[in-house]
Amino acid sequence: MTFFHWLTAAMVLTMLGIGVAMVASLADYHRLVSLHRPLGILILIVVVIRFVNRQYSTLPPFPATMSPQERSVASASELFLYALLVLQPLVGWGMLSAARYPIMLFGSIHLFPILPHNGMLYALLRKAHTVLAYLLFLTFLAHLGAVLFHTWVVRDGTFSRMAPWRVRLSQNERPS
Amino acid sequence: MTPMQPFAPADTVAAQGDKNYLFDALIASIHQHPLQWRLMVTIGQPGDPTNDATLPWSDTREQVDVGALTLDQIQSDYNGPCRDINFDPLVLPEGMAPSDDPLLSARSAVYSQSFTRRAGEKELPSAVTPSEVRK
Repeated sequence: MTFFHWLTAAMVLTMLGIGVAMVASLADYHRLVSLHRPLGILILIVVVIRFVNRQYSTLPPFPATMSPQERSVASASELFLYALLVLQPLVGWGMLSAARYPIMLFGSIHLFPILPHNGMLYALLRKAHTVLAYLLFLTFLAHLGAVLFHTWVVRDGTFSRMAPWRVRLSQNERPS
Repeated sequence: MTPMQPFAPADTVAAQGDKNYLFDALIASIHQHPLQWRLMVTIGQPGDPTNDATLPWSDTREQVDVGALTLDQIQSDYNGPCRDINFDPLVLPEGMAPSDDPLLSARSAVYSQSFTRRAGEKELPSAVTPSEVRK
């Protein structure tokens, strides 16, 4: 369902923005980190539901213009993005667990620790969280670049596969 | 926090050469009797600034003694329970909430970064070891 894609995209881009702003802020830090935690868990939940939903969905076919190698790259990058989307919130949850921060979501709702208390483990996961955030952003840029390339250069109707609206395909955009 | 034991300046003459003299005085003291502080809460009135730590409230504000903190044990930080955690001023128990003072969030932000650096460092020997604490 395209709904999950656009929902995830909106949440992830918001999260990247919050993450960057948060680590560079002083007076807004608390407000932003208090938003960052529950949104991260929400992304984890949505991505898992989305992945399950995907297993039971028929996907639109690749455009005729895409070679087998290109299809492999597209599928691999999709799996990579799913992996990043699941890993990043787990690293966030893990790092707070290892530092024994209370993992507050909203009000007094909090999560349990998923890792033993260990300062060095926290430090490693904290750095991993930054690395994964950059990776997510770069993967998003590659994804956006590929979509624009297909839409404006190849003109093979790729965008219509994910468009939230119904699209009438022109002759050269019909898949093989 | 106001101390219940009377103030006594450290004996710096007798302590010459002992770079741990403040630690040693505290260890000796706590082995003789518990140390106590009163927690005094100042009740603000409408109009008192809560977002600027440089502005003091009037000294006529009511103060309430809400209890005593008693320290009756002492431990080296080596393998102690107070290490590898961040004393973030915005990690608060149920029933407490931060004011609108931006300094609280700023401290939280800075503590987080210093905690990350500290947690990632190779452990150095403690300034006061477990055996020194037992003396």
